[in-house]
Amino acid sequence: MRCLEIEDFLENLGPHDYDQEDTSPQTEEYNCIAYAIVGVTKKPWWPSARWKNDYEWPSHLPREEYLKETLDNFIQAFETKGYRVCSNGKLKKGIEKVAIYTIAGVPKHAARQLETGVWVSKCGDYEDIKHYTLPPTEGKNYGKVTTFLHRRRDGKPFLKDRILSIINKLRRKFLR
Amino acid sequence: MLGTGRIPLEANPRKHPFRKEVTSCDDWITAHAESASADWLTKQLSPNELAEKYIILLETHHTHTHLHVQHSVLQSPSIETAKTKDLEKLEKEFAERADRWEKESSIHSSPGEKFIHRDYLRIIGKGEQVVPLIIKRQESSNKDWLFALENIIPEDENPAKGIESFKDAVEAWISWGKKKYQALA
Repeated sequence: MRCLEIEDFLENLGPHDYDQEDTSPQTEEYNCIAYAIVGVTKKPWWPSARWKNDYEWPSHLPREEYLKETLDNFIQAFETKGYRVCSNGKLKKGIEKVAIYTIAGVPKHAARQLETGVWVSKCGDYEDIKHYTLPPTEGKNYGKVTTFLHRRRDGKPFLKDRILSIINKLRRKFLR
Repeated sequence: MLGTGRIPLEANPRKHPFRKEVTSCDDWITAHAESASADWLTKQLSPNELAEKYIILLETHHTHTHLHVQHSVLQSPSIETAKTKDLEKLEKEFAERADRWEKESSIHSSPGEKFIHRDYLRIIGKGEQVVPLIIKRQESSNKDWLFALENIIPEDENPAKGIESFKDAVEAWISWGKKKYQALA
């Protein structure tokens, strides 16, 4: 199905930049961050200080004022689900990647990469779409992709994290 | 534009220096929309700060006149027959702006981006005269019109203060609105 509203509002997105046969229904139940972090959910993710019960956000991370949300807060939220910052959005076997879009450093949108290399985006309250590349979704509404994160698709931690975990265990043992 | 827009109106809103030049809320907003958006872009002001700085100041004589008309109309036995042309015009404009805002802001996940929309700010700028329209709209809409109400109604009158769920807050506002504007009930 062609998503005309999304094409209207994402000025660089043309009908051939996304898979018209595979889009979701429109819903406000989840948003782009929720969809990038955990997939289809019953709650949107945002560090909103209003309606705290309605917006999911890790409890140890701060709720922030509108339009003053920080990229670091978003990165830490993704880290709670095993993501780590990486340098690019190139497809890598066994690795799931996420792209965060910002305007003036403030996060506006996120997209997640599927195993095929295609990206999925939940566009606000509209549908989620599969777009073949990231640039068509960049523009005045979502800004530009400025940060990539990745995690292993099998759910296991990266080698670096495992080594750090061992070091921390040893530290605790010797500190006793 | 930016310079004039930032003369410290907030210090004493009722005596702001533009009052003599302004003939209506619309004129005021048109004249200051540019500086408001410039403030937002350059200073990263939040919608709350923008509303406080630019919108809450719209207590012009024009607004009060509308408010007076609105109240007298709502208190009359038949709203339909008592509607003034002004009120009809206001309702039409509100509906157009509200439809457009609901459609265009839906592309955003960021709540702040939704509220910084031009039509939403203009609706806030209309002041208390649009409160019954907003409440009526909120009854059938799942979009967040409460942010507008929070920025029009004085904080100490906010019936949803402390409520952390949108659904519960909507109920509180609608119930408050029905009491305050009996015609809605």
